[in-house]
Amino acid sequence: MKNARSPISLAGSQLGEVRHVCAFFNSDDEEYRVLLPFIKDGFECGDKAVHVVNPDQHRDHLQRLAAAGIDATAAQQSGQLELRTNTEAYLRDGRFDQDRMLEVFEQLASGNAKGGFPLSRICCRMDWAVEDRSYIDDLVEFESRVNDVWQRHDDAVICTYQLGKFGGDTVIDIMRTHPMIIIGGILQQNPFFVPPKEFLREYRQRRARRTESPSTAA
Amino acid sequence: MPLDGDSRNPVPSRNAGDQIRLAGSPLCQRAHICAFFSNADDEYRALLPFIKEGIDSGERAVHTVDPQRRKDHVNRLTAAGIDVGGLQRSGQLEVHDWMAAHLRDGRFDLERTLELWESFTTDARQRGFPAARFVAHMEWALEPGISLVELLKYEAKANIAWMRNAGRANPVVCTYDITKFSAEVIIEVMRTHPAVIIGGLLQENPFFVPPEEYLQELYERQPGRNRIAA
Repeated sequence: MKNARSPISLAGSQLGEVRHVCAFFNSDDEEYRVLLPFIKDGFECGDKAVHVVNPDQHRDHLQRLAAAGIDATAAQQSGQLELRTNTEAYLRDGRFDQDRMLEVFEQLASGNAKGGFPLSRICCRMDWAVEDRSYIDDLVEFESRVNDVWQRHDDAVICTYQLGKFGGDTVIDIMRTHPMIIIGGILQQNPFFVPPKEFLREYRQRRARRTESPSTAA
Repeated sequence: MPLDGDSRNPVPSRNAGDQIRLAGSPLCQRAHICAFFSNADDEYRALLPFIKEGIDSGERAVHTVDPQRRKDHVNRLTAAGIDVGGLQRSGQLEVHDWMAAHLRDGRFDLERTLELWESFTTDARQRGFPAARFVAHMEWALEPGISLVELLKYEAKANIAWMRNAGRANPVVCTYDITKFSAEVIIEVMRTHPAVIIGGLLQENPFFVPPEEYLQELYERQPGRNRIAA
């Protein structure tokens, strides 16, 4: 019998207790090919779906769900599917506020959310961050900090990064802040994960040094 | 998660109990390593103990460097107590500009470069060195006219050559400045290396794709974009 702690199939493997995933893709097609089975499973077993997509992606996203046999309209009406826009979700007044975002996710998380779903399968497109270097810096810190939220709940959270949009240094930092990782369409435990306390100490020092000498900023 | 030998991949030893150490972990046969750094201080903090250990063990050191970083490279070796001049004269240390290695005649020729590394290895063995340790700066790949596919083919084929030398690890560290490369390159480079240094720590790489499989994948798809630079 499935319960909130049952392993979740994803990208050729299973999510156990640790469910904060960064996923790197080369194209939208690859992203959907890898995630749709996971998304579909979630609908079928009664999990909630929270999809946070680019502003211009809503229609395409709904079409892809429909092509996979998911009745997205019904799901939205029943509250099983929440489709949000990433720029609206993450940025308020053009600013990314880490503390506000932590609170938003805490309220959404399985232990706190209303609606009677055992857990949420949350998929977030992170393209919004490439608009500004400061967004990326804050996002990396946030990704490290949010591990504390997801550790206390049962939700499966997939942060998706399209490789064509980011630089090498960002992708390395993102890798170091997620305990699970999808590369080449395969889910693995992430050996490069650094526990938040340690990572944040290092990262904040690095950020401070960069502010001191802006001419050497990446 | 440090690298460990296991019964399928015994750690090669020079003398009983000897192990190559790099970035806090012993190496096993996964001797082709990509190292990601965002600045030179971090890079050399991780690499210098590895370089020194090889030299102290009587192994040959072969470094291929960015010509613009050569002076800094030599200065850092010297500051670490390495007698650069003396070791170059004795032949134990070779420091080549990448113009003489990856980019001879100003262009990258995959097969020729692989042959060059074979000859480095053979030469070291013939001169009686117990092993050779290689460090290669990889930003030559940012030169115009070099495609991502060529770089990845090269890294994958290097695995075939290196794995053929089973039982005699000649570790190669390919260093990549992550501030200069695109995310796509970093991820694909990772998939072509059995071991990775990130954040100064060496880890066995669960995303490593065996070379024949990787070359097949390359053949069947072009990576999304050919952009190498960040």
